Amino acid sequence: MEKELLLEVKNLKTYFYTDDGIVKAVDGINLKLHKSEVLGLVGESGCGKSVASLSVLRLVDQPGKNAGGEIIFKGEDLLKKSEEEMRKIRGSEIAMIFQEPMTALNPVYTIGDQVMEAILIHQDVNEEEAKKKTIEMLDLVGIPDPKKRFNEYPHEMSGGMRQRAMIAMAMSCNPDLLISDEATTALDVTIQAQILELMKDLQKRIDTAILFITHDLALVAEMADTVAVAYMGKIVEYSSVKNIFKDPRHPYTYGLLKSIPSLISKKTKQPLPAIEGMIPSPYSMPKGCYFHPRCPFATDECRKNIPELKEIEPGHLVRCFHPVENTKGVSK
Amino acid sequence: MKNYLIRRALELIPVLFAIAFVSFWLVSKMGDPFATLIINPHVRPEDIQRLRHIWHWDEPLFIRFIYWLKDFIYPKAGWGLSILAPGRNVIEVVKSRIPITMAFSATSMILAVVISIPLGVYSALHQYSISDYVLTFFAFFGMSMPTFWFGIMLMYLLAVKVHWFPAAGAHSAFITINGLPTEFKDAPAIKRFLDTAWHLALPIFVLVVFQMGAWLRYMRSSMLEVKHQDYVRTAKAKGVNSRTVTYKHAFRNAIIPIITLIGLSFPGLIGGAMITETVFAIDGIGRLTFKAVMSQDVFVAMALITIFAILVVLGNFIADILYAVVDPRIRYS
Repeated sequence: MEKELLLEVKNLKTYFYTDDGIVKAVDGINLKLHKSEVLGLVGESGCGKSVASLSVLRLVDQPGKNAGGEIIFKGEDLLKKSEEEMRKIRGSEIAMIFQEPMTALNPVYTIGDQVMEAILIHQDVNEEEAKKKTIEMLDLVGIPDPKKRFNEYPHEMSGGMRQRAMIAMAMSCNPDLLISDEATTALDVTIQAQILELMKDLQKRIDTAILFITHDLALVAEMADTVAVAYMGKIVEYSSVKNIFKDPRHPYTYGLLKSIPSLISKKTKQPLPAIEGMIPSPYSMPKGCYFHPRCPFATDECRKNIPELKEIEPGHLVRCFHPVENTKGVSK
Repeated sequence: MKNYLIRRALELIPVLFAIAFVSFWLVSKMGDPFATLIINPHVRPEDIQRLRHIWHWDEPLFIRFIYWLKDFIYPKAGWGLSILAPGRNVIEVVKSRIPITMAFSATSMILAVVISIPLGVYSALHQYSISDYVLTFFAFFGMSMPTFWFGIMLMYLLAVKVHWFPAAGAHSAFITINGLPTEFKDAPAIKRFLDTAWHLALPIFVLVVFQMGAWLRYMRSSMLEVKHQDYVRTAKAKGVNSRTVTYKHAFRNAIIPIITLIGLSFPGLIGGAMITETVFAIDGIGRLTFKAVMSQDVFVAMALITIFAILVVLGNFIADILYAVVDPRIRYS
């Protein structure tokens, strides 16, 4: 049974108008996220995934600007909302966790103050109740001795603890949607696992949908129900997590999965397969399919025309003229 | 924190001692204060010898310094053979000049900081807007204009041409009360204050314009840097309104380096006052310094240098304390 649709991003475009030209950081992205579902948005650095997530909250700084599209959240277009309406949504209905726990917290205020601020803004509570709720939240995200930690400054905490505090801040108002922008990237692996566990746990408890942005395919496999693969501001493949890993059809996804080193592969002498070349400069995008200069399957058609995102089988969308066939066994 | 303060305060003593000694050595190179007496036909060579002995100028440098230090801490009348303060206690003379200098340089600094901080914030928030260009142009103008020239121009236009302000001095000699000229020192306090303010308006304005440029640019760039920090974005993502984002989250961080600079610029006040006081003929310590150097008055120069050194060291000390107060990451132990 189809779950209730929470967020639908339709043909979203965010362009940066710089002196050197227009950078199309997000160039017509489509996403669908149902209630309490986890959507993984994967891509390499510079593919526009962070900008896309900031665009949803309308927090892209100058010279970045929305250049079209719709962001339907709970049936209403966020792009048509006033700044004040948007402010009320931020932090209460849509919350966000950022990549760098070291810099994402304000160094001159205590952890408690910063978590409490979100509660005081969005909930009708007095200071005392907000403080109680904050300590509860800090406890919930697994910060030991929350009463003492309430009065500590960010620099007195480790990276993992700070990210827990960020999560406490984001979850304090029970958001319907949590955007996690590379939330575990800056942490070491054991802390990363703990934070992921915590996010999964809270997601079930609070029934929040997560837009999970990462460059790490292993994390996507762990967290997501559905996966969108982004390349140069466009979605190139969109399917269930199972399909993406078992049957990747876009050459880019295929290349990414092939380049994951395997522990059980016997052919250890062979070099790790990689996607040739670099991502193109955003100021001079290639004609035709953006991926064609790096694609082993590129033809003349790819060099001339931009392919559309097509549904090649139910629930599996690919932006490619020549989807890869017979990919069984690419993922280990 | 308390221990740190005590330790820092104790550390100041050897620092001041060293500064005083180095200055004493430098000033002693300025020339022999008794040399002018040699060409005076009324002074016998043995009198000069006697004077040298009284003021310990026949002793080695270090011993002389110790005597000087003793006199500096316990001043006695007629100390030194000062040209500017003959037969008077040099320290008392210097001290009597401090209030007027403090009055106009502290006022100008407070005004400059209080005006330029909000302007700098405004400029940063409206980066590349017309008002930003106007403000940064004004800041550039203020910083690049030499104070002596600007002072003379203002004096010429506003004092000489239109007589809105007095051209020189810190106060009038006489104030008219009930139609009768009354000596300044006998006038009521409010009259004296108004008269002094009227006299100091131009020099204060010159110093404010000069300092504002720097403070405005410091504040602007500090705010610009903070504006794009991750924690500002976090605050926005939390649903904090833009006013609170600016004043609670961004400003509180942006002001940290400015507060430190305020502590450090404290002694610079007197350097700036030196030129302005000379131009506007105000008898403060700035003008006294200028005169002391020009007339090679080692005694006055040495007393002034030591007072400046104390100001520099205290300014640093205050900056350190302020830094710890405004930035929770700094905790001295």
